[in-house]
Amino acid sequence: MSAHTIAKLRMPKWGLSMTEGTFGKWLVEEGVDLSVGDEIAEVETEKISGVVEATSAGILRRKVAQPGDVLPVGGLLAVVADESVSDAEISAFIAASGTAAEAGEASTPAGDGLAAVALAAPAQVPTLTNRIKASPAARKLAKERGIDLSRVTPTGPDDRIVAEDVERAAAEPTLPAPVEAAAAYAAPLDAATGVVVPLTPIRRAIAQRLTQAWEAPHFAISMSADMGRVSALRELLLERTQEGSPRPTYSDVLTKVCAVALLQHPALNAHYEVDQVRIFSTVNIGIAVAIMDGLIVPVIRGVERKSVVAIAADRADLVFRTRAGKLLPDDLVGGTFTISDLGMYGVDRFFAVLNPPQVAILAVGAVEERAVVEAGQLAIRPRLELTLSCDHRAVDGATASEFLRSVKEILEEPGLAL
Amino acid sequence: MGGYCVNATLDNSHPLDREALLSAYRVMTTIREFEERIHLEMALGEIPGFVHLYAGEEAVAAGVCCHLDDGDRITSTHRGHGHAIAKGCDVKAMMAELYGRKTGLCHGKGGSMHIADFDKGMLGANGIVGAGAPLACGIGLSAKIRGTKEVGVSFLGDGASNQGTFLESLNLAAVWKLPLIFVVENNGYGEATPATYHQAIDDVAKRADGFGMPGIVVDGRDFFAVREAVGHAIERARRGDGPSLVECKVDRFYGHFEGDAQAYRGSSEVENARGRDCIEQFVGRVTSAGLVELGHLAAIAQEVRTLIDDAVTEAKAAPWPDESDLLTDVYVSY
Amino acid sequence: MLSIQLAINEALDQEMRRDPTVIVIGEDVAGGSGSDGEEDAWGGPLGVTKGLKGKYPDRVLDTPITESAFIGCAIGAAASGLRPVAELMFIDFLGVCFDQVYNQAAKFRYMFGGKAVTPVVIRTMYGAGLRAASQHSQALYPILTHIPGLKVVIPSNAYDAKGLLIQAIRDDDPVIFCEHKAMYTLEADVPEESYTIPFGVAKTVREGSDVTIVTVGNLVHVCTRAAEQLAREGIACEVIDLRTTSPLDDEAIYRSVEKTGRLVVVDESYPRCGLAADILALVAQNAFDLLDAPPQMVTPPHAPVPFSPPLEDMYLPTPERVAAAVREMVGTVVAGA
Repeated sequence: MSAHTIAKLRMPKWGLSMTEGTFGKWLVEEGVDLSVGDEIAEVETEKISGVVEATSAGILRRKVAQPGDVLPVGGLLAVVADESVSDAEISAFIAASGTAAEAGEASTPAGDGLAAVALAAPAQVPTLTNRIKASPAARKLAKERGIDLSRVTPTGPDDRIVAEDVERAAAEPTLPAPVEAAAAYAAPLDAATGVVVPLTPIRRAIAQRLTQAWEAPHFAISMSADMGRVSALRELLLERTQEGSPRPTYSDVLTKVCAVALLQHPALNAHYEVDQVRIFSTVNIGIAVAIMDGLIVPVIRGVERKSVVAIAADRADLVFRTRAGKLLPDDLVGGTFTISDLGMYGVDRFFAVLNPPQVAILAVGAVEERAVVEAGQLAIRPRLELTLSCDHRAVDGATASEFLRSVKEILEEPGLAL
Repeated sequence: MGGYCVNATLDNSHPLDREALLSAYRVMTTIREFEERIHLEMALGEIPGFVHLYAGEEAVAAGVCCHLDDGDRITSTHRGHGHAIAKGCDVKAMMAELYGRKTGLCHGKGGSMHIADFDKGMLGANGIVGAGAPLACGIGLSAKIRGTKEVGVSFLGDGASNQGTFLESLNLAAVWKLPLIFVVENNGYGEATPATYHQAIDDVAKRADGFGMPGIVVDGRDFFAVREAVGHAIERARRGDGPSLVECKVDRFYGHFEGDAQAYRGSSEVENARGRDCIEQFVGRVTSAGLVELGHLAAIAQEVRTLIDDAVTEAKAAPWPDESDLLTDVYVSY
Repeated sequence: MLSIQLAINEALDQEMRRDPTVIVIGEDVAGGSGSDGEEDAWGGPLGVTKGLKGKYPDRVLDTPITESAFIGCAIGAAASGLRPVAELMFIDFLGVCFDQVYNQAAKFRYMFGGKAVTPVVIRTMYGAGLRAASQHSQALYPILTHIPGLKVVIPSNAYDAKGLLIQAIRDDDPVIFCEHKAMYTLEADVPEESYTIPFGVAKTVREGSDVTIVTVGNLVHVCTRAAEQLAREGIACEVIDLRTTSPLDDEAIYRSVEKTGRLVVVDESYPRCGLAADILALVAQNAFDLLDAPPQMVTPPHAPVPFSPPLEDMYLPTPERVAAAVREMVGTVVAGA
């Protein structure tokens, strides 16, 4: 081991079907000088219990995994480094790796678990701008299925995306079979032990994605908007809506308003990538749609160029196809901003978790009559609570506030959108 | 059974009739006209690749092959045009082959160095010096196993006589008593290196004794001497008494290859060689003995010149092989 | 049950009985010809041709130690009406007679415009493992596979050895028949009657969906053992025995890789410009989009075969090395005790 190097010891992959392991106990103490092949810890899988061997030589500087932890293959167990590496550097190294569990998601399985990395050139998570490492078979499959490889989690050796990963990503938007889901929930309750409901593939995908989202440092700001003018506008639109055509909702108007505001504040119409932010000149807004066992976010494209009526038509079509399980892969990719609306459930306001790599998401509740003070007088007005969550790595509070204020102003005076 | 003799006094037990003499003349003249024409055409840049001319050595090919049928097989050398013509290969097809045409004897895939016609018992000129000797052992072995009276002839030069394949083949042929004749055409040069330098003996035939077979040296410019000596060797082989080596001392009129400036040869050497031309000697002997009239020979020579003219004209007009020929005949089946 | 040695002997016997133009020649293929002792003393250095001299005294011929002459002689005889089976005792002796093989036999048909047939078979022993050191242990068949005009056969078991050898003898092209010296005693069920196995048809020795292992000859058994171990670890390997390297059944390889997406080629020849490298190149060229992992090769190192037992054991591909390559390819490791 050359001077000033640092390496991860990770959860190994014992067999093709192993995806995670339960950490048993440590067999060595921090500070020991490890050689490759030294037994360091016990791990259990569904099939076997085994001993993990060191894949890198050096001093065991920090144990990360604790007995009982369930870690994915590749998950961080410990850090090995030489003496010249400071404790602070080790902490930074661990922080950069995310938690043990998260590290497993996007990093190397045990095959090259020893990937010792000189601190001067820290390992980089593959980004949109870096070349994506994918097998030829995975690339071909992704092209056929319209899957964006940058959104596929690699599980192959050396962090390579393999065909199976693309298959998994392609399977994500499909709906779980209703019968299966119903059967799971219909399982008899056992008061003592509870009922184990295994995660459906879509639930697993959501869990994985939101955990990943949670890596982003979130902050949220709220404002309340007067919806009187929007309400009038909506009445007008409803009058003109032909029988059988989709009826414009407050959300449709809000979608349009957000598009206008996003063009005014493009920093919010962006993706966060490692070391850079990608700002888009067109607005593709994701609409969170609840389904039986989760949440799907189909995308309305080019919103800035569309009328409210056209947006309503797109939205109705996407919601219908989402619930019918007939979405196309293209319906789910390319979003630049997301709106999550829980108004129909009677929610006043809430905080939404980001939809990475987008840098912001707007959470809206129901339009409700509220008592407000207007020119020193109490008045009853239709109000809407807006809560904007942002990725603090890309957006600051002031920028976020300016954007949200624009949304509020346009809602209160739609003519400003002209 | 060993032995080695130089310029053996042979009993002339192979008398020639008039037809045989005319045939021998036609073979030698055809070889000569073929080679002289190739020399010209090469100089004009009309013929691709490497070519080695046999001119000057015609009496050997004619004197050996006059004893052979199609069932008797020969292996040849890089200097193989003469052997092919004497063995009965089609002259026009040979010419087309040298021009690389589809109508060539080997469909343009062999060229000068790989002229062959198995139907005529010509198992190929050969680009590898000495490679024909082991193959010729196979000819002899096949004849022996199949119980025929066929014989094999391995033509080689003085250069090849230093190759291991030649020496190994002498041994194997002697051990197995194969019906085989090694005909060493000693033209005094292995490429550009004189035999006086590349071997420490005067006569390659001396080596025969060391392997237990008779070795005979004859003047290769004398058709009758070659014919007589080889005739005895072939009879011996057909009787089942084993192989022989016949060394024929010859002159190479041209260089090792066409384009060879022959700076290594003395100024009068080729001139002297031309002065003892095997064909002129043949003509002198048969006409002075009154066996054949000069006019008759002149008529044959004219026929041969016409044949060669036609061969060149037809070869030049013949189609090239095309892409469909590139991958045929790599295997019988694959 | 018949050993490979006896299966080859039976194939030769049956073909010599069937066809009087079939002959066997080579150094000590009878052994003792012309001596005071038993004329059929050896029957080949390992006894593979034993007994044939007595049955076919004129067609089983001991040769002097003269590879150039007798291999060339076999080729010349093939061009003159016989179907010789020549035994080149060790493939390592190829250098002594190579011109006759690659410049003569291989090229006759092409150079001579399709008029020649050269139905010669050259049987030869290859392979390491018998402490025979650098000049008697090589697996030089890639050199022969490289040459257009030659066919190259490498049987892995007694059944194939008999059927492939009979095919080789009846085939009108020159065939090099490579026998691994460490597997002559390996037994299999071999029908008594005569049968042929066509060239260029690989055999799927074991089916699996995770990784394709392509191999040939003795290593088929090494790979099968590796596949058995890997199966216990939940990795299903498909093992393909090429049987002939020329013609090569590349389609069989692509079909399997289509199923598995992963390829390991296991070969005993040297790695540079060898069989494994060639197959990897073919797959990269013709089946690139099927690959789900970088293809791997398990071969000896680029070094001569060593003599000392521990060195030779390190040198050769083993089930453990094959399994390790497969695990690395699928990203698994073996659990410690």
